[in-house]
Formats: sequence, C-alpha cells, structure tokens
Amino acid sequence: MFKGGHGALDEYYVPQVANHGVLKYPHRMNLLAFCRSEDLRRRFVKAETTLFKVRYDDDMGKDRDAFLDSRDFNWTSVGPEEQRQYKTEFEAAYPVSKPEPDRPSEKYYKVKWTRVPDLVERRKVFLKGGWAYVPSREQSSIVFQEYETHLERALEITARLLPRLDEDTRLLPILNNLSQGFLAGVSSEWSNALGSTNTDEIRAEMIDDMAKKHFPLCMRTLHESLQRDNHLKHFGRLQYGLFLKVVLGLSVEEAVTFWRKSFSRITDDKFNKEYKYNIRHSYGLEGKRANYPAKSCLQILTGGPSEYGCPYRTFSPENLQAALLSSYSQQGLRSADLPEIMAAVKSSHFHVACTRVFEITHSASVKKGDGVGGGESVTHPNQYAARSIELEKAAKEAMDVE
Amino acid sequence: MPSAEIDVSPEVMLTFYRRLYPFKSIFNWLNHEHAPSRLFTHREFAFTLQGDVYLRYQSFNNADELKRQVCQLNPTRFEIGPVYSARPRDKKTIRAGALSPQQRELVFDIDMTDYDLIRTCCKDAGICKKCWGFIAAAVHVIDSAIRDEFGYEKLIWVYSGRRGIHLWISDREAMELTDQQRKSLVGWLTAIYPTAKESSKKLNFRSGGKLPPSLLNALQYLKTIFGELILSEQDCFGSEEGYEDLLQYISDSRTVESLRTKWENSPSRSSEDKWNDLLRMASARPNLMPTLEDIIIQYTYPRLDAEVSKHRNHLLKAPFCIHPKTGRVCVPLDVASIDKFDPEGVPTVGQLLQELDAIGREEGATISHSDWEKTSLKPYVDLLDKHSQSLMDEVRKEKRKTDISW
Repeated sequence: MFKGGHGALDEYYVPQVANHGVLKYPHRMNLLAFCRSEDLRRRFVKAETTLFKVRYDDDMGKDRDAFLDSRDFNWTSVGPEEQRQYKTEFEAAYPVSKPEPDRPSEKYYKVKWTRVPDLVERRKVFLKGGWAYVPSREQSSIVFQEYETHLERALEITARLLPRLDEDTRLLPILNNLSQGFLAGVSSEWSNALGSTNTDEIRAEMIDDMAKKHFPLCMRTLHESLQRDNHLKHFGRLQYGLFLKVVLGLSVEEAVTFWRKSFSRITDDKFNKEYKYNIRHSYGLEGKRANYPAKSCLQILTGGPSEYGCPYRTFSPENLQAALLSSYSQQGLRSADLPEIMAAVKSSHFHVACTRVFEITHSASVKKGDGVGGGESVTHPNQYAARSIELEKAAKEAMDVE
Repeated sequence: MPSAEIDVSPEVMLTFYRRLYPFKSIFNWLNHEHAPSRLFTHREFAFTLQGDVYLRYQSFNNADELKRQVCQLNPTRFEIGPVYSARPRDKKTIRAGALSPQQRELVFDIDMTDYDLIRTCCKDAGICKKCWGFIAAAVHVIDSAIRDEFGYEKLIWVYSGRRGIHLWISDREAMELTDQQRKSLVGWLTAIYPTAKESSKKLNFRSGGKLPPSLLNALQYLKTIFGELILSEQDCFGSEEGYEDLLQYISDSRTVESLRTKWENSPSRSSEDKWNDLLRMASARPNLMPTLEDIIIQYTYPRLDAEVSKHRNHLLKAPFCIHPKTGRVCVPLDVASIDKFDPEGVPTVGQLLQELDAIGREEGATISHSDWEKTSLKPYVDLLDKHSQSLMDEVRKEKRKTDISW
C-alpha cells in the first residue's frame, strides 16, 4: 500500500523497535483509521497504551528484555558519586517499607523530567535541575511514556500524509467504519443497523403507538412514566432518548417535538433553556459531538439509579407482575404465563425473563426458544424492539403478497 | 501622591497606551530576539474592549502594529495567549483544526481569594501589606522549586494589579511543554486544595509517613515565616473559629479535647500562646510532630489556580496593563524584594499621567516613544528589559552554537 511514493511513511511505521512477542506496536491499518482527528488520536493512544501496560506487566522475562534492548531509551545510569550526593533525598523520595540491610542498593536512572510525567504528577520521583532520578523499580514508567510518545508521533505523521489517500475510494469507507465503531464505544452492531430498515420516517406522534407494540418493559416503563408525569429525570431522558434515536432512527427535529409535547407542563422558554441542549447533545450536535450509542442491558442492569434500571431486576415481584399484565396483556400475555417468567426473575436470569416475554407477545411468528431470532436472548433493548418491528413488517409484507 | 479616585476612563487609557505602555519591551520579551519571529507573529492577543466585549485571535507582525491596534481599539486590558501553528488572525481563512497551540510560556496564577478561608485581615477583593505575606511565601516556594527541581531559569513575576501575582516562565523547554506535561508539573506543585469544600479534606502528601524531598525543602522555608505570618500578623488561631479550624487537623482526640478546654477557658490567649501549647504537647508525644509539619504546610504552602497553568491556550493578562478596578499597573516584580512589596505603593495610571503632565510643563511638550523613562514606571520596565535581555542572550548563544557546528 505504501510502496513507491510513500517511502517516508515506512520509516515511522516500521518502528525503530522491532516487534517482540506480544509487545507490539499497533497495526498500520489502525494507525490509518485513528489518526484523523484529535479526539480519535487521543482515545486510540489511551487504549493502546493501556493494552501495552497490561502486556508489559504480564510479560516477564525474555520478551521484555528483548524489547528493552531493541531501543535506546536514552537513560543515564546514576553514578556512585551522585548516588552518595543525593542519598538522603533518595531515601525520602523512595521510602522502603521494610529496610533490608542485605539488599543491594537500588540502581537509578536519570532522564529529563518530561519523560516521566506520571511520576512527577504524583510526586513519586526525585527531581533536580530538570532531571528525574528514576529508581529501577519505576523504570517501566519511562518505557510507557516512550511508547505513548512514539505512538502519538506516528499518528500525527500518518494524519499529515492521509490527504494523499483521499482519492482512494476503496480505503476510506473501511477506515470510516473502523473508527466510527470505536468512537461510539461499541461495535457498529446497534448504532445504525436500523437506519436502513426504517425507510418511512418515524414522527413524534407515532411513538406512543410504537411503544405499546414493540418496546421492552424497561422502555415501556419509561414511556409510561413520561406520559403520566409529563416529566422524566435526567438519566431517564438520556436512556429513553438514546433508545428512540437509535432504534427508531428518530431525527433530532422529531425528538425535540416529542420531548416538547411530553413535557407539557413547562414553558417553551424553560424547555429551550434546560432540555433542548441535552437532546441535541445526545445526537452529537453539541459539546464534544460524540455519536452516543444506546445503553445495553448490561449497562442498564449495572449502572445508574435504580428507578431507571431493568424492571425485571428492580421491581418487587407484585409490581412486576402487575406491570407485565397491564403492558402486554393486549399482545397475548396471560396470568398463566407469569409463574414461568417470575421463576426466571427469581433466579436472577433477567434476560431470560425478558426474552420469554418477547416470545409470548410475538407468538404469531416466534416459537418458544426462538428468542429474538436464532435462539438468542435479549441483550439490548434496541435488539428487542428492532426484532419486533422487523417481525411486524414481515407479517405485513406477507399479507400484501397474498 | 496617588490620587484617591480611580480614573480609568477611555481618554486616560488612550493616553497611557500612546505615551507610556512599553510595547517594545513586551515585544522583546515575547519574541526572544530583535527580528520578529513566530514567537510574536503567531501569538494570540485578546482584547477586552470598553463594555466587556471580548475580541480573540488577534495577531501582529511587530510591536508597532500591536501598538497601532491597541491605540485604535483602546481596550480596558489585553491578554497574551499561545504561539499557534499559524497566524491566529487568519483563523477564519485556514482549514478548521489547522490552528493549534504549539508553544506557550509556562504560567502560574496565585490569587488572594484562595486564601480567604485563612486570612483574617481583609476579605474578598481587598488586599493589604499583611495578606501580601501569603503571596510572598508562595512566590518563594514556587520560585525555588521551579529553579531547583525543574531547572528553569527565565522566570518573571508580575503583579496582577489587585490581589494576585502571575509567573511567566520563558525557558525554551518550558515553552514547549505539552498540556499533559503542564498538568504533571502542576500536580507536583499542588499540596493542598484551596476551595472551601475541600479544605477539611486532609490531603495526604506523605508517602510512607515521610515528606518527599520537594515538600521538605518548602517546609524548611515555611517554618521560618510561619510564626510571623500566621501567628502574629494574621493571628489565625485567635478566634474560636480560627482555633477550631486548627484542631481539625489533629487526629488524636485526647489532645484536641485538652487543648479545646484550655483555650475555651482563657479566650485571651494569642495565636502564639496556642501554638506553644501545641508544641509543648508535641514534645511529650513525638508522633504529633508530623501533624505540626502538615499544619504549617496547610497554612502557608502556595495555593495555585491550577487551571491557568494546565493548558497552553489559556490567556493571561499582559504585564503593564491597567487593572480596571484599581487603576494600578500590572508591574513585574523582583523576587529578592518581594517581601517588602506593597501593593498599595504600585503606580496607578492616574499618577503616571500626572507625572507626565509635570514633566510636560517643565520641558515643553515633546511626545516621545519612551516617555515611561521619565516616570515611576521606569524601574519596572527596566526589570522586564533586563529579563528579555537574558532571553535574547540565550537565543544568540544557541545560534552561535549551531553556526560553529557547520
């Protein structure tokens, strides 16, 4: 790919450090994909450095030695004279929990303080005249910093060379896809899978109807408390808003309309000031402009205030049964189904309970054990709703054909 | 005699910029050499106009251009930002993202407001010679830490015009520090969190029960001023509120109880007496000693406005601007005489213009570029010029070195 005119690139890609075992520099493709904005670069460097640290700490012995030998880290050993000169300072800066008289005295390395910013920030190093005296047990700090600096430089150089690739129509879409999945924090599975299946635009007034037909209990609960109280607290808005954005492909204009209508008790002024920004933010139109993904079951189960958690987990058994019946009896859920669901809940298999509800309420086309397709159980509210919408559409098309 | 009323009207400001403001000195200081370099031409200036209109991304080719624009816009003050990758004034015409901060003096801001919880002499915007003691202590600690530990030499301290002080560090290496490195450096210099909420939260700056060498050095100095500043001048533990604040740093409840009873019964005991009570207790119980050291650090260690130092793109008021509330000039200060500095003795813009008038009457009016030489502004400008000279010498030395290598 970089043969010919791009010789300069190779010098940076084939790093001065050869790759040793698991202590590797990242793949070139990644550099290409993640070099293109400040934000991408920062996140990528952070993730890669963390990975490198884990590998480095994990990897005793040969690989590490080979890695250290492969590169000149440009540190100076501190000679015995200096060691004596700063003896008291070393003792104060690097306290030993248990003094062992037989222990050989520690070795120190001298580097510019900017090479070990993490030690400096925590005041865990002795500084003199701009030099940091790093004890050998903190040596890894220098290595990590070096790795980070090198990676940053490689990314910046790649970024500068990238415009030359702009005309290549084969490569860029791949790069875009790679980096976007990373930015969203999840693979692209649920971020725009439905943008394509919903060709007719969803309008704000259709949401109520959609909720009754397709939403899992957690989102039903949010929807109903929004309708009842004309309000939702911040995390509820965030969770429900992202869900609507992703699963229905609701446009930002329609989202603003929907929330404005739902919050019927507040003034336009207050709405514009206090809520509109957050809606636009969740669409990546304000602030850091991130394309936030909707929350998965795991996130809903583990994080956040309990009132917006997974109802199978947070509701008391009585409330849960009542909620299930009132929400899904129209779609065929009967009291006789409840014991089975409650048994799953009792053994903390919340996703099993949710999946069973899905099967029951879509019994026209789904058999027990089919789950949300191919026997899978629910792992994401969007998956639940998306499959439900898909089934309805298929059923409709089948009718049209007839 | 400085006039009591503060006149910073547009007319006064304009005369000040036209006749007194040392643009050439500011240029030399920022540019490090005589011929305009990127350090000046790619530098952001931001103006605060009359009526609090804020104008960012200004940049200039040379000192005269800067002066012309300042005289035309007549701002109440202006600020200096980083050296960008391109000229900031071209911001709108260049590709988005192409304008990024590259270099910037390492700056620090110490402000009296961060001491409001412990100072007893003034409140809010007020500052007197007594509270200056806190600032002077901070200056000594920061100045020697930067020189000794980080090895930087090109430091200049500038009075902020009201109740604080700024430090600008122009060493080549310091100019090139990344935001991440700046953050680390600030972390190194931060030992206490000044804001109200966190003050009760004890910061653990010891590791393994010992103070790290940097804080030991600071402590050696702070011990010498603690008595005068905290005990006699500020009388920090005089009031009940004051000594309760002190007691919260002592973890041993028996010591706290016995001291509290003693002090409640004799409210006339001075801060010194109370500190001596504590010292006596500590001599009987040596494990109290670290606590006493921590208290000294807590009360006297510099309280930095960390956000200012962390990012290269932070703007900071230029030296020799006029503080709009006090009319005082933001003058550079010499560390050697920082303890004797009296904020109220700083020349105000009104006073300087009066001096100019007096000269004008004596000599017949000839407006020259360096009218400041005839006013009490002179020693301060000289101080900056001397500093800039050392920066220029450094650049010349660098250049000669590279010349020889060829």
